Amino acid sequence: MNKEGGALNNKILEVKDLQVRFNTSMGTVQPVRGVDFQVHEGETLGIVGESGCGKSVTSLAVMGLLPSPAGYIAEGEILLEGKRISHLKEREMRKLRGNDIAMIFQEPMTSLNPVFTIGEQLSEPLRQHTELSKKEIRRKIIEMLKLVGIPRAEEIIDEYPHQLSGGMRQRVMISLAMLCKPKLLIADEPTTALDVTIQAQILDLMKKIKSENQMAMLLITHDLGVIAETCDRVIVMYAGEIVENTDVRTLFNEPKHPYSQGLLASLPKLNERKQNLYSIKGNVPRPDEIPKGCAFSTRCPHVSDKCRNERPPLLKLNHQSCRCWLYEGETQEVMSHVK
Amino acid sequence: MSNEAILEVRGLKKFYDIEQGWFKDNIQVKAVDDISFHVNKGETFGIVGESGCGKSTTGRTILRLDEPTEGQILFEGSDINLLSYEKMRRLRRKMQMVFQDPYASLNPKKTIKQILTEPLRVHQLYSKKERIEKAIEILEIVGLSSYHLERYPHEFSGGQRQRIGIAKAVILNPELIVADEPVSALDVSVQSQVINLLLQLQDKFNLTYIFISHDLGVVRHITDRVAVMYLGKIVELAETEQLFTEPMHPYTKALISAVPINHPDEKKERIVLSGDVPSPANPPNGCTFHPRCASCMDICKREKPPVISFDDGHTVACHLYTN
Repeated sequence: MNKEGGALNNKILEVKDLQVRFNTSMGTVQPVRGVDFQVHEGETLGIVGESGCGKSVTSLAVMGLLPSPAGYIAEGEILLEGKRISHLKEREMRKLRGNDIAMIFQEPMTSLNPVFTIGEQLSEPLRQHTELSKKEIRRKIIEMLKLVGIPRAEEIIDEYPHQLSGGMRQRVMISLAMLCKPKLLIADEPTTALDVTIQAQILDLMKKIKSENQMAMLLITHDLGVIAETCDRVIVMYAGEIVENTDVRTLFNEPKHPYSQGLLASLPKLNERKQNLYSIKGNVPRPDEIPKGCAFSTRCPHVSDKCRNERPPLLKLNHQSCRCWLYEGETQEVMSHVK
Repeated sequence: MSNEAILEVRGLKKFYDIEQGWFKDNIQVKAVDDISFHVNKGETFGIVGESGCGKSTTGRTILRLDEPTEGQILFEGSDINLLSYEKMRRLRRKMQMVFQDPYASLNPKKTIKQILTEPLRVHQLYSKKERIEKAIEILEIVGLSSYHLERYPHEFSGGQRQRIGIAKAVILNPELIVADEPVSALDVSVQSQVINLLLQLQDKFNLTYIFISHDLGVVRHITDRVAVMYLGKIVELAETEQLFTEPMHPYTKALISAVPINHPDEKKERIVLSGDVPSPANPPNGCTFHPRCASCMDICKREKPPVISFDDGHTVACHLYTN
């Protein structure tokens, strides 16, 4: 496999028809309703969508971190390098977590333990997954902290999280995720809590680390700008399902699904100053009020009777796949059937 | 839009003391350090900056929700710091605020009817029946309807709650609304709806906005003039289009360049600032931006930069432009 172009051959993560359910006191809700995607080596796949679309739940399912016993995978499977990980026991999952798959969370403020020093927290994955001595662990951590651009790494290693700023903490989280050189890095809104100038630093760092290590990255965000900066391919999610799956340029040049089109058109940058912005009418439906046919039918400008009654399948088009009846005539192949 | 100033801020300072214990001196945090600007009637004045730069404190001191340490705030010509508590309360009818977090700024124990009629009741406007009519009228203006009156805030989505927050501010028919990050907590598709609502209300009621945000895309869209703040100071102030096309201060340049691209094919010359924003409790000497500035000179480390004004109203606080 060559370093640049061959990247696309190696499937790291495969998610097949994933359905996640939560049992709540109000009944069962299904935040993820049949999601299929793959992430290849050296590729960044972006998942974009609004709150409640199921993007974070999807990532938690991959990590095996669904809140148990309320949340569970009802159907479908998750494969890491061809090996099924969706039904592993907790003990086996632990061997993967932090080693083969690592995750960066949105809130750098709350995802570090305030009562342990940076060094103590960073040594944990190494103690779990490697046989290194204490000295070697310390050396490796300092090396990694330097790599993510933390100044005074030798001192910071003995400091507590509250002594660091938000940007620094996110760098620590990235170094924590990178310590065991994971094959797959999941980043759930890694820059949402940060200021723009710090966001630019962190995105640069993540791009650099990813290209140096040839790993696969799953980036979850609601910010289309971040998608444009970092991703190779993009999945647009709405109400627990994928509505569009395409490469990043096609999404920005020629979005097909009315929801993707609406999201892009509502960006302030693409509208005349001081004029009304294009906006998608209505609100994101709650999981219990998702319409019977197409989930987007209540807000779609092109809605027809068919949309209201029949759930559209993911249709394969020339450059993308798209879950919309509008393109029924253009397609030769149906990616997934409706269950 | 007229050129008549509705609000003038002169030399505003807001310092907070942080206690260090019994025998140590308090640390003073200069949240807002000597800023001056004016807001014209009917315009949207933007304040941008990163967290901790003092933009929210500025907004709160303008409404006297926080007492300023020093400086004058002239609203329609009179200094509001000299007003008594009672008079200030009455004046707030003309100055209202929209808060960032629509989840935290509505009382969960009150129905929408109570929330919306409360400002009218406090200011003793209208009879009880008319207040409810007013509430229905404003609900319809912000895109909700009368059947929402008896509901509680938890029954609404984030976007709807922000509409209620805006309705609560607009129901008194104010002159000036300070909107502190009104759309930051909202989803993209809902964000554009709320921005449209703010624009429509401005048209309809001839409102003046002070729009505080860290989102440069939204600021560029909605504002007429923008002030850029860094560590409690205004480093640059200009008309919006000018600020975005010809930024002068090195910080403004870096801030604008840090905004993510709009399209994957867009090439952007990015100025990556090194380091973090210094702590406002212990700001650097001279120009507070100098440790992160690419064009830092010797003088920047020693002397505070003067505010330099250009003919078109563009002002910048930077030693680069002293000559």
